[in-house]
Amino acid sequence: MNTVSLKLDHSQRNYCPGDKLAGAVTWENEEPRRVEIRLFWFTVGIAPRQIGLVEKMVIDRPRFQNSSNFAFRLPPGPYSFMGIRIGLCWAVEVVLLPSKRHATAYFNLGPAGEPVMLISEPLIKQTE
Amino acid sequence: MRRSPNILWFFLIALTLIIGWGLGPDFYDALRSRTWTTVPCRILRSHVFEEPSNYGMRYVLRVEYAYPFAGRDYRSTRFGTGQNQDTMDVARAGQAAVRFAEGKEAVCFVNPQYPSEAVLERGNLWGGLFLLGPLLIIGLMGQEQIFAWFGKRRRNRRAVLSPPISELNDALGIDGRYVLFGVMGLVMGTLLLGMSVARPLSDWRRTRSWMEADATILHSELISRSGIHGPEYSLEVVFEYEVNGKRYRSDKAGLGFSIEAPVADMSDWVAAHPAGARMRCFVNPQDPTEAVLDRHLRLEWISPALGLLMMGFGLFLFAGFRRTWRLRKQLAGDVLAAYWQGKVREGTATFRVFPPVWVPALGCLAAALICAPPGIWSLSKFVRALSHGQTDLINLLYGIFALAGVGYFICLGWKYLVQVFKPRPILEVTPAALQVGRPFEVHWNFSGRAPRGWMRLWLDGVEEARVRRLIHAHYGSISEEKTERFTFKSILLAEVQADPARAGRADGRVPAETMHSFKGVKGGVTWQIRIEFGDRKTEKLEHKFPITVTPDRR
Repeated sequence: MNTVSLKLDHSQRNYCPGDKLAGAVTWENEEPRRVEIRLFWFTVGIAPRQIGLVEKMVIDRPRFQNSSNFAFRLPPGPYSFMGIRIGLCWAVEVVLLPSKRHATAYFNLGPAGEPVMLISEPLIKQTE
Repeated sequence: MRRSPNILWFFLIALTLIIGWGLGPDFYDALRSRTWTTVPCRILRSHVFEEPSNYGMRYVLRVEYAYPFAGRDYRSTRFGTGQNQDTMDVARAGQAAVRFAEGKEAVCFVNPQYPSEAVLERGNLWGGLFLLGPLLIIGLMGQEQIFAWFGKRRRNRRAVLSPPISELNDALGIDGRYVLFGVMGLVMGTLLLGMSVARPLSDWRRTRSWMEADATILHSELISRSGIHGPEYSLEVVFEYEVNGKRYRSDKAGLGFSIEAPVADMSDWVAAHPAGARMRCFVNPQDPTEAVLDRHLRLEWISPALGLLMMGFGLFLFAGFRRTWRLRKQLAGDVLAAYWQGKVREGTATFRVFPPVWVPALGCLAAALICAPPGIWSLSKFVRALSHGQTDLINLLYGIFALAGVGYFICLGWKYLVQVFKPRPILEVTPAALQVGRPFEVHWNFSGRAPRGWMRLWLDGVEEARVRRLIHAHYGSISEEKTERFTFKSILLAEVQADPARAGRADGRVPAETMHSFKGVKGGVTWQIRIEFGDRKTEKLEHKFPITVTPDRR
């Protein structure tokens, strides 16, 4: 069976801006033409999902290898957050091309490593 | 979910069948004749006959022609492919009589399978577009269900294929609903502007070089019939003129788009031009069958205004698609970082009420002045028609609509005008871009006068999301995209209970464990400085100034 996996160096998965995010990707039984490791954030919630591709690491024609290490320096933002209608998550994803087989690891980015919660205050709702 | 009424769907299906029954055979015959063989023929007999009908005079070209096919000679009396061989357009009948005059050599179209079947003129395929009319109405009424079905199919495909999350950028996808309405706006706007402006202008340019000839009015009448919205009127005129010793007839009184022509003007014209009256007409020297009595350019306002509105709506939506497409191409790396963070300014930011309140007040006045003349013109035409015992519904409805617009803009303009005499705050915030966990200061000042009652100054954090919500209407359900806002944090920076000073200062700090400004395509987190004040306790005026809060940059 074809498999692809992605492992982060830290199991805790909480990062601060400027931290180094490092890990390794492995794939088996497949010879991809190209491997892309993508660092991105995405919105969650009731509004349509937006993807923000921050950085991409590309390995072209990796014929004699079935694994690779990666490292990204995390930007100052946006922070991971969770609100009533919208939230933001961070992820790193490895995609084998052209099969598009992939593996994803999620993590938090915030001033204290934790996502910011927007729902602790009394809420005032407006719609227009 | 409330079900849409079945009777409406029954009505639409019945309408589709009736239109299909009426137009389908003609369209099928016109389509069939496109494969027929073109063969030379000789016109043996040709004459235009007049026949009265319920809707006015009809004209039929009775013709007989001979043509050879596969070594044999055939004869036919069929002019066109349609079920009805007649027309209400006397000029068109006259043109056909000239093209297919007795003794003339012409071409006909022969069915190769049955060579005895032939026509001189093949039917117009554009008529087939009318067959799509009911489908368009059904498509519009059921568009929500249709797009919901596409959405469900997309979700099911994703569930099966499980594509990479980094490729699911739904916020930068183009919504099919907007494409549908954008295309409709552009098509209908172009058609309306073409019919009501471009065509009369082109006719006016063409007729300037036409020659003058004496004409005699044969028939002149204001026809009224009962339409779905009430009485409908049309001017029916037939005149005869002579060019190079040959007599011709035409029914074209003037240039323009006759649907909205004022009934009073048509009535006056009929009174001034009874049957037997003699006047000058203008004839196309290249084609003497084409003539017009009045070649002055008269543009009405209703169709051009509707056309402009529709075209503007379509262009607005297409500008949105272009913006989305550009964002999709550009939003990555540094451009993305600049986009989500918004404008980060250095130094001190000054906020004023923008635009100054007199600008929208003047805008409203201008809009009222634009709407007033056509409204008054249309209502005066309605009143004149009423004095003749006629009801000019189109000018009544659009006149009321235009004057209602005048009323609306005056009320709105008055609201803005009143604001001119109210205190208008000016805020200076240092630093210009706030930082999470860092202090800041706000100086306030009022231009004009200070409020006489109270004042409060806030820093608000607001969560925003563009959400599509379903609305149930009597004709079915439609969805609308709305921005929903939640204020997740409100920090009171300053409060003055009585007689606030004209200027003052407040210090604040953005909480350390909060979210910075985040601008997404379909949602985000925004921060604003809100100032509220009033001359009395019951009065509350409010101004909001958006401000950028960045992550802690230390």
